[in-house]
Amino acid sequence: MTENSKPIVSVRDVSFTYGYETVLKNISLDIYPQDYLAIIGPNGGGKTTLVKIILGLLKPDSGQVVWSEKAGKRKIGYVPQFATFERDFPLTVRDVVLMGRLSGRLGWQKISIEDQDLTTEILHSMGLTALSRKPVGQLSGGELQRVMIARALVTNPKILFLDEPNASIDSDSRFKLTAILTELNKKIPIVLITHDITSFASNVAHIACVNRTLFYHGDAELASESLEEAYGCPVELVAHGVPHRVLQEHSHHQPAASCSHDGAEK
Amino acid sequence: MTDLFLAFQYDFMQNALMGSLLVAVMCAITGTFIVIKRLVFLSGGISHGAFAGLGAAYYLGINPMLGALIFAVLSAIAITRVIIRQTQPADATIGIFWATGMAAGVLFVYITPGYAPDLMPYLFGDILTISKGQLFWMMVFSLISLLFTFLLFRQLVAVSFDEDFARLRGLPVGVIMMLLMVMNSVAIVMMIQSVGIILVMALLTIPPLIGLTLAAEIRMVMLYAFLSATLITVGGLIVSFLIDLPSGPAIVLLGVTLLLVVKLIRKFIQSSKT
Repeated sequence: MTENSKPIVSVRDVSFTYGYETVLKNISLDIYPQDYLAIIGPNGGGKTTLVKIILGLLKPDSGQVVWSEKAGKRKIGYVPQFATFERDFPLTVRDVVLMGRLSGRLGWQKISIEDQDLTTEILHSMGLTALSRKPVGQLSGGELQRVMIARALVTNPKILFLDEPNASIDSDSRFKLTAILTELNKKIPIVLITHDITSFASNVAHIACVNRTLFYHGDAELASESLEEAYGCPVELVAHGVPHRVLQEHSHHQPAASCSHDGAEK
Repeated sequence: MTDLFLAFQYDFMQNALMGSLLVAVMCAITGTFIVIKRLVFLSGGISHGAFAGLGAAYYLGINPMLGALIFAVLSAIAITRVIIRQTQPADATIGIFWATGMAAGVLFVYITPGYAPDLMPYLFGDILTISKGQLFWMMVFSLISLLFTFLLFRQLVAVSFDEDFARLRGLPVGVIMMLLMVMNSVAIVMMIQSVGIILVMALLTIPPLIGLTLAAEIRMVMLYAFLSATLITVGGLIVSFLIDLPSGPAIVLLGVTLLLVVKLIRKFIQSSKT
């Protein structure tokens, strides 16, 4: 077995209920090193819940999430949806990114020179240097998105999760975001929740279609229209494709060994 | 005006002045977190919940402010637990604490034998009657709050900004939230003396809002909140002394006026820039 064929995280038979409502049922999937996984599915289908369970922010009612040793706690980068915090919060871009250097310790935490340097470097690589003293409340959607990615990256993550990264940004920012993620994916696996698979279609290696249960998990190019119809994936996805020809051009990103599984047999 | 200078030679005026400064410190620190973390309603629940403790202490013949302090801290812990565990809607829970606190407080006072005390100073505040003993405890708690905020500043900001992210960094979010709320509840009880249970929300909100209007960085927001809180508490004290008005309402109305003036000036500057 090569290093890349061992999953970095395994979701095993996870179920989650909220009140009386079953949000997720018996989900199993694996995420591999260098994976680029898009979690798609209708609103309220449990995509964000699944990611929060993987991150350990929510506890599943049954089943478990097993992380490989090299991606232990605090090595996870997370880019939440915008709506999760107040836009008028009195912090500058640099303050927000520096937050990623916090450890879990209580008590005084000094900002080290290393923290400063890494923050400066990542702000630069995200094209945020000119904005670093600006209050986060004054940023555009795309700029804020990059700040959130920068904050995730200063933690030196071994894997990056993004929740609806395309939701409230303009098309120019989408283009930039796609480029940034493609570059990052050369080093770490990326998992993103999205409605809009088309703008990531050329890079995504795997798709997981989640609507209470896992309807499909596998190679992006195998996600055919008939499959989507049969399993109830969102209509907009069917409408613009998951254009096969685009996906297939890039399928060589992934080692064949890690494809076409549903994770359950591991 | 000479009256005023003479007045500050009296002990009670010096105490009131010192008390105002301490209240300003407290509301700058805790009020800023309360406003940016959207905990204003929760703080209202705590201050009104504290009235139950005040009444109970009255009934038992112990210091009413001690009773208020114990009940405020307990309600803060209880409400925060409900919020963290999400077992029931937070705003409804806060509403229950709010009303129950007031109801229990009034009942305790009612069943206490003897003359019914004047509740107005507790409800609307009277900074001129602040005692040396109260001042001492205010000073102790202000110092503890300052030290606590200083030591945990980055963690408090991180938890206020984005709880999920703070949790991913390994921070004990529940513990930090609990500590923040306990600090807030202590600050609220300290402020009851100057503006009273009902008006305490004004001191928690107006100075931080002035700060947020003037600055976009949290430490500067706190500094402006402190300066404006000092201005309105000391201003309110002077006004209430000069024309014999109750200090609490004077402080609140002065604060709202200052907030409006600051907002207007800012609007004017912004529109003249563009």
